[in-house]
Amino acid sequence: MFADMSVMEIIQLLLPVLVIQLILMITALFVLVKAEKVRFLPKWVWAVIIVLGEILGPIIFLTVGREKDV
Amino acid sequence: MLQVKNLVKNYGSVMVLKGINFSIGAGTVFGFLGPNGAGKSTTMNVLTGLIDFQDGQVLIDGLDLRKNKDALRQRIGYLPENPVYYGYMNAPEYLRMIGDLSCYPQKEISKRIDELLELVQLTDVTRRRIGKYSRGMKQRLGLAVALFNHPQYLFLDEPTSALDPQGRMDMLNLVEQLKNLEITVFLSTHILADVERVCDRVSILHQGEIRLTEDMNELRQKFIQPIFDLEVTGQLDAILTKFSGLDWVQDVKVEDSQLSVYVSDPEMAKYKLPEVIADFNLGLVSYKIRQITLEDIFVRMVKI
Amino acid sequence: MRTFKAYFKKEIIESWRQYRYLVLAVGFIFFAIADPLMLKILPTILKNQIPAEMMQFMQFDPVQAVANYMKDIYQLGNLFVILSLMGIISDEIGQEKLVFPYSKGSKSEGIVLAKSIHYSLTLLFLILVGFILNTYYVNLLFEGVIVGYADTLRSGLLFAIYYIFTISLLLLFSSFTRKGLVAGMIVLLFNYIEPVLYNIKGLADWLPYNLVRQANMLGDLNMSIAWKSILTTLLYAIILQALTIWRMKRVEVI
Repeated sequence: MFADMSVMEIIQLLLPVLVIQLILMITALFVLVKAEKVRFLPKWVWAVIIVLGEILGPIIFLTVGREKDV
Repeated sequence: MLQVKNLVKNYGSVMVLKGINFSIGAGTVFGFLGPNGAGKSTTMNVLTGLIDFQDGQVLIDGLDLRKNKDALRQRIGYLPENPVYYGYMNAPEYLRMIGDLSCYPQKEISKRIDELLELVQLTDVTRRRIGKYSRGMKQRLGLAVALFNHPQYLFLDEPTSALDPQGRMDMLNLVEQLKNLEITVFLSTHILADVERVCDRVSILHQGEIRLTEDMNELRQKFIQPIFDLEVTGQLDAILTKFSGLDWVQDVKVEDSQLSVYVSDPEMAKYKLPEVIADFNLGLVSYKIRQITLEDIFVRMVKI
Repeated sequence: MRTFKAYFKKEIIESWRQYRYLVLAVGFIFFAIADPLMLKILPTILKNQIPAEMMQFMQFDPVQAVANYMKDIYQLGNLFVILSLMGIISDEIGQEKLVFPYSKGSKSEGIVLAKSIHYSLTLLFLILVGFILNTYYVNLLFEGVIVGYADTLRSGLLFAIYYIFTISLLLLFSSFTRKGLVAGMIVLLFNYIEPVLYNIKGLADWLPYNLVRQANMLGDLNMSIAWKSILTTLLYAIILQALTIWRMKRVEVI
């Protein structure tokens, strides 16, 4: 089954994963930009973590880096 | 009627409240004065049933607080010194939650929320999250929370301390309005002017002990011992020596060209003091009889 | 009851506005899809780097692929759940958020149960959705015996019960500390020790971790063994939550 799959088909299969990752990344960046304060690290470092950290980057920012009470 | 009998509270080996006693009649605005660290907040937390105590008794309307916590909480409202909310909620959401927690009649919650937001002037910011509120707004919302279930007893812990002058004025105006609702208010503060403005009765707490409990009116009477404030120009040494020899002068405080003359008999001093001043070669810039302020009493009480 | 209602609503608002739903959903759903895809693509990536005779070990069937997902959501899922829920009670105590609620006479039973039931239902839902998606993808991508939805959903249910235990553990430790990280670390440590304890004879049947092992059996699952695990784990959860309520009745919130 796999052998006869074209690159295009593999990308199509990967699409949902990419979409989830993109949604997560955009949400995290949006939260980062709107936040007045963030915790532990400067804002730009968090931005790098969100963009390059694949799936875990945004998650770590949303659980650890975000100011809790707003 | 709120009665506190021989209340003792320890934190480990530190005795924070060393057996305090006082009682507050219904409808009174009671000022609870003391320097920072005197034990005011601890007293508030005990009286509102949030923390336990080692010895003594607290009676509210004759009911023992320890044995009737649930019933008495329905009659109490508390605004702590640092009100903390769920910052991601807005004011109506938070108040609705408080309504549920205090078992307020379900159908009347919405009406009560509108009423309270009106009272504390937060109707314009109902959509804003509480986390973004200013200190004064949080304090006013705290009052709305404390008042939600129509408490008969309201405990306000330093409600004005952290506020700017405008916020402080708003808060005091609100407390004055409460007098009309016949709520017994227990107001802790270290700002004397606030007490003088709104309180009927006052206690001074220092190092875990009550130093004094009096009605404000009686207090003013009892401690009246006018002080003559003089501002003069010239050499002060001679006149100060003269003052120290006079038996009707109790004490003199000097600050640059300002003299505060504490006298034993104000009626007599009214006539004699000008004579004394005239005997020395001094320029008199101002001459004023000071009415004693709560501050003077306070300073005297916490010095003992 | 009104306390329960108020706190259930509060947890919904909080989870939504604090992106907790998002984090948990990613933890369980993202991997349900990404996991089989990675397994599938792995041989293509490695094609030119490993000898051809090794390639046969890179061919998975649907059952192995589901097992791989379960391994991931046991490890990563725990991490996600602990990270997002470690402050579940300690934040409330430590930041004095309970002063107003307690001064209004809220009931600790209501607070604790609202939290535990809310997050149990959330995880149950996410885990079941995750298992459905995973089943769909593994059957689509891999050749071999098809995995039945009934089997994976039954495994998902066992996982959900395992996570109810984790939530109860978090609730209890979180109620004894003012720093969520401390509670999180303790529960994480417990999660690492549990598989080690599992090797001790006679103990295995009594550990909640047994649920994870049972879930891995998929179609070969023996329900009479599973029932024992389900009931003991639920019993632990009830005891832990009762202890949390007991603690919350005595805690000084200011």
